[in-house]
Amino acid sequence: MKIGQRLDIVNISKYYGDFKVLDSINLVCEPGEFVTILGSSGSGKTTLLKVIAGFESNSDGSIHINNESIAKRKAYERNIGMLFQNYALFPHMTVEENVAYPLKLRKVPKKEIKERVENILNVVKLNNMGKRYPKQLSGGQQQRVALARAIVYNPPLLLLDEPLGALDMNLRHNMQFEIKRITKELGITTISVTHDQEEAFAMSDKICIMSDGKVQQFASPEEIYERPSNRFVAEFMGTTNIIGIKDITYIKKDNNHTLIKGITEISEAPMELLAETKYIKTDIKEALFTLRPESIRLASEKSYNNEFTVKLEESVYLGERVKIKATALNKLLNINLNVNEFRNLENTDKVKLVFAPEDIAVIYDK
Amino acid sequence: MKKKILIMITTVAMVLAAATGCGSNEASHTNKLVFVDWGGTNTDARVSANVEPFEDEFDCDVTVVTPSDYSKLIAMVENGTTEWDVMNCDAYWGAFAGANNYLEPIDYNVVTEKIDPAAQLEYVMGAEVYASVLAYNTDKYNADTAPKNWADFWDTTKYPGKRAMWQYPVTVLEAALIADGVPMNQLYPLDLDRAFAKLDEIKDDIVWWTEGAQPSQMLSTGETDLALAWSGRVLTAKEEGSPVDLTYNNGLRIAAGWVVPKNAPNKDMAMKFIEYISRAESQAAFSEKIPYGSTNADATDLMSEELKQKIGQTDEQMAEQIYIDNEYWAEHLTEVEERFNAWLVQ
Amino acid sequence: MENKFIGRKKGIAYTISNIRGIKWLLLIIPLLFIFLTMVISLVNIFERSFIDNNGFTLEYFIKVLTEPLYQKVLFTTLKTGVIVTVCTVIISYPMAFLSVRSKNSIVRRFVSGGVLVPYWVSMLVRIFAWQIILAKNGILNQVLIKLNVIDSPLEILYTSIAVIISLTHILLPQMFLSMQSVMAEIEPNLTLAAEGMGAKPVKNFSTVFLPLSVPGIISGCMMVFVLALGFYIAPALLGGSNDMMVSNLIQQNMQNMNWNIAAALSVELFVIVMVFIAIAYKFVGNKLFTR
Repeated sequence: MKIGQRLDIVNISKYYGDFKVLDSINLVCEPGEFVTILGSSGSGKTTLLKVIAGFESNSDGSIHINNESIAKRKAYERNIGMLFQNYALFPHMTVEENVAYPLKLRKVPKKEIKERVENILNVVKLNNMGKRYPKQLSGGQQQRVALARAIVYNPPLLLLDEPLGALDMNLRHNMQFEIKRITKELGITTISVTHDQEEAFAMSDKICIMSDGKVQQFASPEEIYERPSNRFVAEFMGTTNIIGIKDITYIKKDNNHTLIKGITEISEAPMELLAETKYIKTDIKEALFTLRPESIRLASEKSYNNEFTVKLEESVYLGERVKIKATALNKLLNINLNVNEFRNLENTDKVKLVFAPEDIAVIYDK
Repeated sequence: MKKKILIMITTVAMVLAAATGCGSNEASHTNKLVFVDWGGTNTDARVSANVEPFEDEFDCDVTVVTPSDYSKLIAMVENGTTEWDVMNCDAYWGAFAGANNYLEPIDYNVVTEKIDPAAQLEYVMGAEVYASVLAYNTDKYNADTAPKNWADFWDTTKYPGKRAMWQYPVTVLEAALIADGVPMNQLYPLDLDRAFAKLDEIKDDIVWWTEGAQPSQMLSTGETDLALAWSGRVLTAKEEGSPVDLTYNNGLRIAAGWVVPKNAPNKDMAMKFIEYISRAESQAAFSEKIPYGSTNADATDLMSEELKQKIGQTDEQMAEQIYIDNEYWAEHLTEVEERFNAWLVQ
Repeated sequence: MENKFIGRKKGIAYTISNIRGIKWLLLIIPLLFIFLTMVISLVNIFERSFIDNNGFTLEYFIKVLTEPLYQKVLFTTLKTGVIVTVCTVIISYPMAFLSVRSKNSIVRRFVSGGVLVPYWVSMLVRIFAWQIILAKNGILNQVLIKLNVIDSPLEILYTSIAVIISLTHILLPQMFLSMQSVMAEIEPNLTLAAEGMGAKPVKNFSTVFLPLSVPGIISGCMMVFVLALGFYIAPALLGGSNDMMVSNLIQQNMQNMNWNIAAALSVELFVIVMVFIAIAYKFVGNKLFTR
């Protein structure tokens, strides 16, 4: 049985006076999808979660679960599961009593409560812990209890607030896997809030990157990695090079792709970039593009057009690869080279490098 | 390391200094006396009228401690740590404590003043005098309409409303017996059955007080219209403008007295102090300052008529009052108080 | 030997706390003080309650336990203690709740301040204030008469009600602080979690917040009840003749040199308090004492 339902967040805004904590948020989660809201503190991600749960009201917009509006409902009428950062287990109740709590509220018959509690404790692998109190459990076990309690009543939507924040490294990897397994098994629609990129990428079907109360990008992890929609996302997603390009001319290449020619910050000669046409705005003559450190290679005899020269500044060995900082026309670049390639370099003041036109993402931003 | 030692020594020195009380005033006189009194305006008056002149005359430093505390005195004597030399207390209590061996007998070789015999006891030297009197609210009654005696006080049809009484058997039982017609000179030994029967009559109309300042306050706020109250307190309240007054008729005079706790450190000086403070001049000076009567007959002669009238010490006023029997109370206080308490909570 | 700079930066308290042996000294001095003041005097009281000039006797205990006066006064004392405890619980609970859970910080501060500021005023002044408020022509009666609630003044002063009102007022901060400290430890997330799982406000409160605040109620009750048993100034100044408390009798008997009776009464109160604490301990167990 798949219990997940579709969630629509339409134009949600929240103001504190003139300050917009949430600014016209739109999100759609398909049934059973695992969506992570990723952002730094103050981005509005936790507020958004609280608005969905009903712990905070929204100033504008609407929320729908399975096309039913819930924005006007109290938190206790929404039937949403939530896993709190510090688990929020009731210290005066045993594990069983904790997990049975939402079922008792729903007046489920005693016998059925017993069965369902047993089942769900099996799912989270805590079969023998029922009679213990939360204080007698490890952090990881406590989290499993909290998870069991949040899903035992088959909520159509599960919210996770920094679910792994309080765990140590080893446990974190285990639980990432466990949570994903359990939510997928039950087919529950899940929204998780985190500031941890690795966690977001490991667990999510889709990632929503938030900053300043706005959605910066909402897409699959691959797309976010490869096609950041703006400078913020590109920078947020880690070490990448963001390079300016001007005097652009657009040349249609085939049905889906467009060739972009222009003068970049890293070379005096014009360069060529290749992008999907749908991302192109032909009226704009000045833009940015991202170039990942690992997309840059040493130039060989039969290179492409996009050749440029750098001066090496600094290098750090990371096993097979070498992390390099280099300047091209005063622009500082991050480059990853193969150790062997790096060893063969002779003149580190003038190294010829190259990248493939399609290994970039164009960003129309400042 | 040196620094640590220095700090440690300083700390220890400071603790020792605090513990031994060094840093107090250095002595300016050779003799010493620890004097215990009830505090408040009484003590202020006593210090300026009596204690300060005494210090000069006898080359003595007097430490004034307040308030008088019966339990503390007993505890000190019990534990052999008597610090007090002379204390003011009710004479009947002094007689009682003396009989139980908590006090030094008064040395009548030193103390030779002419004190009213009723207030001059083996262990207590009578000092100032006050009386349990009938007091009333002057907004409600004037001198003519107010009740005149304890019989009137008991008359709830003629004088309706609550009356305040001392939550203590001393003088309350006497008042009840007088109200019931027992002549004032035949009160003792008290007929307890008769007294409690009389008290039963007005039990529901009584508001009990436990602190001397309460009855004046009850009278001025209209909580009660009548009260059995201590004369000194009523007069003080009246002087401060409260709508209260009293009649000395049927007044039950209580002497406060000086006692010397057993093994007092400056016992000889304490006797000299009692001698000094019992002198006619000393008592008159005190009565000038605060409306309490005196036990020294010669002191009365030094007073103006007006003052005598105020403190109830004219011959006519004295005739209509009686001293309570300190010996009786010394002997029976415990059992009577127990019976009184039992009657109260019935 | 040591870094002078650090030593100076941490100040004199740090330097003193590093002196060898000072930790033990700081522990022993208060312990000795407690031992001398508490244990020795307790032993002394116990001794006096069954040993008099003629040696061992149960006379005083028999008297204290069988005579109607002492029975009645003990009953009044316990009754007053229970009523005052219940009153402080009823008043403190919502206030303590507001002081930790109100979303409005002004409300939070106002409630705490309102309860605690009177705590700094001398008890005698507070008793005197109640005399003025509750008197026959006092503020309360005047207001009630002006509002036409009553025709003739209520007689509150010099009755048990006045004693209960003033003791409740005096002991309120103890209950409040005890509750507040426990309530402040209750994670706000627990309430949110219950709400998210579908608990309506009343159910939420009764299944989560209330049971978790019980240790605060119990420790508050213990404190207030025990303190109320020992009061004698307020009953003496505000109560009637029926409001005599055991401590009033103890004080009177000490004045009258009836130390044996006073000691027997003290032991009686002491035993009652101990039994009470034992029962409370049984109910809440270690939670109360190990927190």
